[in-house]
Amino acid sequence: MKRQIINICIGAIFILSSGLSAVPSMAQDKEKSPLKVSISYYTSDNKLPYLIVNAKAKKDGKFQPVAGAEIKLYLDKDSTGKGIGLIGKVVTSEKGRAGTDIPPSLEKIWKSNSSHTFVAVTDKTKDYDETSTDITVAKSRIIIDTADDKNVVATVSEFKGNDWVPVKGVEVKLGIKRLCGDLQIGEEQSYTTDSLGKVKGEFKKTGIPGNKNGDIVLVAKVEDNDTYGSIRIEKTAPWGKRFLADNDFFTRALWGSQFHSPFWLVFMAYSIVIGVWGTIIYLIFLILKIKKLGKQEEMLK
Amino acid sequence: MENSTSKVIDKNAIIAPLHGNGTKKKGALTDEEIISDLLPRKFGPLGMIWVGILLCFCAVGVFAYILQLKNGLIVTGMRDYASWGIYISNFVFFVAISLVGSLITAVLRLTGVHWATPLTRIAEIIAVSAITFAAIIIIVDMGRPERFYNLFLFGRLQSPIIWDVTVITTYFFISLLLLYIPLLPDMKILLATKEKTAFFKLYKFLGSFWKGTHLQFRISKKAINILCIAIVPVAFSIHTVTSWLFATTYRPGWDSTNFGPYFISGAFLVGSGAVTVAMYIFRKYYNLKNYITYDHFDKMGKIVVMLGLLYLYFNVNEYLIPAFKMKKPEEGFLDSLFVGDFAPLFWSAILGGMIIPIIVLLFKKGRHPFPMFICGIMIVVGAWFKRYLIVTPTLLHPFLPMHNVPESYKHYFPSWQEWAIACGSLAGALLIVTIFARIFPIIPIQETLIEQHEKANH
Amino acid sequence: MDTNNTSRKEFLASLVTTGLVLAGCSSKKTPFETGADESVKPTGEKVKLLSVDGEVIEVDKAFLKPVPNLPAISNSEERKGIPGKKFVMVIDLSRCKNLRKCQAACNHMHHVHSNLNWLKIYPMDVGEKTAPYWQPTTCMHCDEPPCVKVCPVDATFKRQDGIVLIDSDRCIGCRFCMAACPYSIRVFNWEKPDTIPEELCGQPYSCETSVPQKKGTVGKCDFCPDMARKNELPHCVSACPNGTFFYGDYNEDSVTNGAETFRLSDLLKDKAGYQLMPELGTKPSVYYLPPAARNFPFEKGLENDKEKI
Repeated sequence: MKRQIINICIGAIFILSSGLSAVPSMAQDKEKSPLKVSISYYTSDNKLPYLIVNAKAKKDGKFQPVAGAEIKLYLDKDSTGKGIGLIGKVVTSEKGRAGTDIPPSLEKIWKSNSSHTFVAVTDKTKDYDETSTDITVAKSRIIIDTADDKNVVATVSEFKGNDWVPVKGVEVKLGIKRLCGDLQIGEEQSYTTDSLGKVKGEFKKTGIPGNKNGDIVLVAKVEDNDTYGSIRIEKTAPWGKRFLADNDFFTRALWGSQFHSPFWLVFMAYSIVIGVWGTIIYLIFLILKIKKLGKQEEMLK
Repeated sequence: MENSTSKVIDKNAIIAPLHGNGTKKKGALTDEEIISDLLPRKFGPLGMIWVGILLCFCAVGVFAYILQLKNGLIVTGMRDYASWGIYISNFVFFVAISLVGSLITAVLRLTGVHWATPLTRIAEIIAVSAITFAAIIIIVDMGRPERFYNLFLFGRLQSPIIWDVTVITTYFFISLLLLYIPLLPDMKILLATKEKTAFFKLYKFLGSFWKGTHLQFRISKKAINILCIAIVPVAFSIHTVTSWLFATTYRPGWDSTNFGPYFISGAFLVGSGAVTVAMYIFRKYYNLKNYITYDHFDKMGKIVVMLGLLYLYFNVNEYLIPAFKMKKPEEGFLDSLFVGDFAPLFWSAILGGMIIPIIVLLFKKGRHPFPMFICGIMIVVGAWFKRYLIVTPTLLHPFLPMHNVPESYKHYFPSWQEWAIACGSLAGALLIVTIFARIFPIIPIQETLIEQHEKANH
Repeated sequence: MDTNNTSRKEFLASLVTTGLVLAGCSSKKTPFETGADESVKPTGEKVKLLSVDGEVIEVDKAFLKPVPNLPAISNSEERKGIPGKKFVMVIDLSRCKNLRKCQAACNHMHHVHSNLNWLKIYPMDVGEKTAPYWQPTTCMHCDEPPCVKVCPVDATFKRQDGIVLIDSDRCIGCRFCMAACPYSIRVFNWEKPDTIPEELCGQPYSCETSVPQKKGTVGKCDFCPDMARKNELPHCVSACPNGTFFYGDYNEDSVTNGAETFRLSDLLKDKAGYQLMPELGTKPSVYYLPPAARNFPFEKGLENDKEKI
């Protein structure tokens, strides 16, 4: 999640420098280190918007995540800078993070505008002063498509007036979805949209493993854009190499489980054990025979 | 102890199975004398003190173990690098010493060496008590002894530990049988004593069915023969498998194809050393000068020399060849043994535990009982430390540097709890031998009688 | 409801990691079942959410994964591992300056005893005239694991996704695995870990989180499969500010340190990746990139190393 931390750092710097921040504890309070809250806005597949907040504070001279911080999130604010629609109250995790969707009850406010402000408010606590942070994002969407010759095309548009308008100059990354990260499709790290809001990238990762049908998931994303937040979309394409899972993993091996001992070992071990213990049992049988003879002898007397 | 010996024997009851009745040559002992000499005796004051000391050691050991159970293995000196310490070296020592049962009894019996008859039971009881404590000490070494049953529930056939558990159990039972079957005729003699001892019921339970008929003798002889053959491979297995606990790893000093025979030869040496010590002590305190003679010591001494040379040979293989190559991972390990931290211990074990006894025993006078006794002790003590030198220095020389651990993790010195438990286990093994000698004749009476008669008839 | 060019099913599944919390890298399905849509079964219970278009949509609850409370995985599942995966790590030695953030994060998240470290950073000084370098060492998760070979009770085991784990509820504490491991990565809980918070003590042990560590049993780096199930990186990887560690799936031919994602085969080829002690035949799952073109001089790392080197 390092990328996120970096993103959020950038976000935090932006918020501070653009003067939108209203962190009251900026007034130097020697005893209380200021709590810093940052908000990130995400959408995926142009469907559900959600927010992730990060809380951190300086400790031992370094910023460290603050766990258990209670943060109230609002949609939009009034002229006094107070939040209006309560999105929810979240508590940060051990990594100083918390997230939420936007509840259906805010439908009206959400629809009222094409650009929204999210406000994160914390109350004064034992350790920290109250804070208020906000970000403003414009409603946007990203569309991904595949073109001939293994090209990926993505279009970024903004919701203006009552229509989706393509936007120019947005940095878009094109990738292949992998575990915990997206592998870029070609050499370029990112692409910038043209006047039609489009970027085009050539898929160069030939032979990359896909699923059992050879399908891979292509990703187009805008990351931490000042205006649009993080938006992301995925599309499946049959450009990968078929991957067949190795089904003979649980074979017999020396490192196998108790039920997967190699046959030669089972055979050797059991034949030795049976041989030796057979002998022991035979010897016990001999002792019993001696005993029986002794009893007979006694009877004779 | 020596004055509590005279017992009234029902002569006919004993001599019945024997062929010649009371045939006596000049200088030979009568049957009655033999029997009264060899019957178990009550402890004298010295014996009492001895048992008391052993019990004290055991009690301290048990106390230390209770502490360990309560606080965990943190009470030991072992840490992540030296993750095995004197518990494991003590275990290897016990397994080694128990091997002697098969040497004296089986090998000498099968090769028709009769002079060893008086030594067989000494060897066998040492084997049984040592293997018992080997099993106990391995449980002591476990971090979670209460989960011992997991070995049976989830035992993996691939693990050398499972092999070890199997062969040790097997060896224990075979040794017990080899102790028990030759004891049967003696049981009859014990039951025939007029004086009813406290163990009368035990004798009756164990051996009242032995009537000494020809058929019984024939079956028992057959059983002993089978046992003697069976015990040799099993005994070899216990020690080979124990060596594999080390040799199946990659560690410098353990990664050796030589390890099985190296361990077995070492076991033979320490086992025969232990028998020598036991011979001397029983001879002296049970007044068995007529049964364990200078001749026995002489022959035993020659065997010890042979075994010592054999072990020395394997040691040369074990250390010279890696030292010749000085592979990087082996370098630190060998340095620490030859000239480093472990050098004093290493050279003492090599010199005191092998070379000096071998030289002493090369001389006829060196094979007299007392020098033999001293040499035996040197061999046994040397062997104990040799096992320690096999286990610990290797662990303190891992492939990657010892780093990111507290300073105490980079060294190993056993804590008092470890010493107490190790000493307690040794005392326990000696206690078993002592108590056994109190209850049963430590020299087989029946076999001695037969031998005397055979000698007389010649 | 607008389904665009993705099926409704795919869309719904995308919620899995829009997932309320922590959605660094969102996914179409569960992170692991590439192309296996069947893995998530609808429960029929619906949850209402607001879409970007301002519409209220209903989503089946099964597709919403409340991340912090993942359903507990049974011991037998934990022993089998995640099908179709083969986790690997790449450690770029040129980026390490012995900051030990990885170690601290790992120790903290696994509540490792304060004397112990699952992740060790060695000052490597291989030859007299060669340059020393810092080498972070995790469990190698060998494909021929010598530790698993010798375990008498199946307490340590190899899974199909390549991970070697320990079942601390079964471990008898014989420490044979520690002797067998040539990389010396295994540690032993000589006493009850002093770092475990009270509330964790009573919690049942999970092989995947390796928490809580228990007295008298062996512990080691677990490659954080619990994090991988959440499509998150292991703690050491995300803790390193220099991006030294890369984690990924061999079957996907990709590794990432969070900020950068590389094709594994290219990375190993271009930077001459190697394994530790491959001559032992243990087949490690951890690869190293040689400390060429270093980002930091070796001496930089000495600041964090009070130990004698």
